Amino acid sequence: MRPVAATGEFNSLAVAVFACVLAMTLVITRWAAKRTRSDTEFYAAGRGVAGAANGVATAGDYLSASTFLGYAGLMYLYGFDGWIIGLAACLSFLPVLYLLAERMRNAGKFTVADVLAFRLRARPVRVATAINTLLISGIYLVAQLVGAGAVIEALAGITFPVAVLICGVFMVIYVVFGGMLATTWVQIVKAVMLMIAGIVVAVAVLAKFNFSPGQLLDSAASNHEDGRSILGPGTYLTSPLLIISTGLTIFIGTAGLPHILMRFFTVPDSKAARTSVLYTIGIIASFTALVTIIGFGARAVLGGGATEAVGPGGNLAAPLLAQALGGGDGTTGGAIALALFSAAAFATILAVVAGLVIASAGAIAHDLWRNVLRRGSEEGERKVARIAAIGVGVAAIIGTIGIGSGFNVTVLVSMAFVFAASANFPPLILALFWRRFNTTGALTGIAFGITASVIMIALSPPVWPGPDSQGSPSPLTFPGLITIPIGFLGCWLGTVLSKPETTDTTYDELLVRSETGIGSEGGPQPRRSRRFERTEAPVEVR
Amino acid sequence: MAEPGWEALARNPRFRELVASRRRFVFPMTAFYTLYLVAYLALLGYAKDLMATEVLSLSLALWGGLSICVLTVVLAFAYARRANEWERMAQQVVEESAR
Repeated sequence: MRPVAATGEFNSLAVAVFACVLAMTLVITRWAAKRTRSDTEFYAAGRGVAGAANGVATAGDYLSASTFLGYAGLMYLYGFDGWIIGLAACLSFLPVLYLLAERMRNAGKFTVADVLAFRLRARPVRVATAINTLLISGIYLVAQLVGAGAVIEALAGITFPVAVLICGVFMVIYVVFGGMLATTWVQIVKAVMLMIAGIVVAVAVLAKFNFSPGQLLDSAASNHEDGRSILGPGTYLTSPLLIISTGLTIFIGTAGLPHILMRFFTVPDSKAARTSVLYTIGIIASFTALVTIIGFGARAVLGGGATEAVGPGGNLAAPLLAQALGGGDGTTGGAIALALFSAAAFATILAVVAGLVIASAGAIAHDLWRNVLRRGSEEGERKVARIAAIGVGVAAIIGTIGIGSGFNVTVLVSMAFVFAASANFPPLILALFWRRFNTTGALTGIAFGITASVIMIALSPPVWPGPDSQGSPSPLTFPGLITIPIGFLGCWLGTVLSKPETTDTTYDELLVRSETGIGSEGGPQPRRSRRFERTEAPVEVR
Repeated sequence: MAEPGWEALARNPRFRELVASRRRFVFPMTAFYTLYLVAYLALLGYAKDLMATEVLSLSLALWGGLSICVLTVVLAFAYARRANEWERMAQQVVEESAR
């Protein structure tokens, strides 16, 4: 069989299918726009998203093009090792469930910073957390757009800048007009399309090998120059410390991604937040298991000849597999399978970048504009959020086209996850669980986490001494093994070396609220009494 | 009866029991699944040959990975089961605070 195609030639069928996806998302946005009139509707879909729906949307938010196409691609190229990142990410939804989801819903309003500002000195903490969110979401956004542009260019034959422009413009349209409600439903539609595409391809692969995983793996191994060693570890992540550090960074980092955590503000109560994560875990665990069939299936079906065609990160392995299963290059079945599979990939890209834009817009409008600069009214804040979404979108489009399709996105993805794991997760967890924790601790922790991350990434293989070079001072592409402890250390040092704040009462309030939901929006309200009034920072607009 | 404030609620014995009960489950389990992941990653790194051993046509590395998928689902449902109990305890605290 001649595996290939998807060479970047104009593909009218794929373009037509993409147009259908875009039309569908616009219908969703139009519907959502009519229901987006208040702040709560804009940032949190009016807290009216059912638990199950939010769970599917959260899975859709997480399963980006780099995860969906990337894991399968890495497994095609290197075998088993490509799976490790996916496994760590799957498990990371347990700390989200155990430690964060319900508490975030009970204690927060629209952004991660809300939870920290609850008990710490609001303004400095909001500034630091908002910068964190912008760094993580902004960098991840550019990483996603670079990958998206390259994939769309290959699949539909639209040039890279045009592909990026289309994604960028549409993500901004969803957020500006439809807010979180449109983002949520685009994510739900995408998650469903992705699951169907994944299941169909996996079943088709298994059918080809008589539903025998052994036969599939034998065939994959015999098609790879490394033979059976691709079925075990060590072909891609070559040193033990690299494996452990990469796994830990993804495990903690995924649990600290602001655009994922923000999803838990969209449900009516903490019970629905819990239900959400159960659905998310169900989908992501199945998907993680499924991706091995797609990854090894690509190797078994496409053979070694497609190594060039799948691209440097292997992103095109899964679409090419779909094409081959449909009948191969040049057949009608192959073309249809490729176009449908590409549609799922396209929807995936759009949904994830929209989630990142709304998280960034929240940080700018809700945290910085409204609560730090103390400008404007609720009306004004929504306007600023929309302008911020446009600004973030334009900056991301320009940045993405500027660095170009050849840029190694690993370093960007690594930065986003390392920041989330080392600078966002530690202060959030400590604010929820450590009574003595204070503002200085949070600020020191964030500063330590970001500084350590920047230094360690600068010293790692993708950056120093040159792109993808040998002989870097640090072998850790994902340096969480070092930077996460430094983030926690910063939080601890800053706290114990500074005077205790009078945060005891606000910690009590946060504890009671986060554990019981008393006082949360939609939850049981405390009885009106002066003693229930906030004890500190009454000017804080929440 | 005087209205309880947040501090009083935080000292309420039922509330303390809720927090303690939840933490008794959540903290040890979090330590467990984190160590499970680290142990798995360490085995992949330091015991490469062992993890490449094939049992029932899958390598131990693959079996270990599948066990992580299964563990995630099992522990998610274990939490959900316990959470119903905590939900009831929280409800009692809410009712007491409203009295």
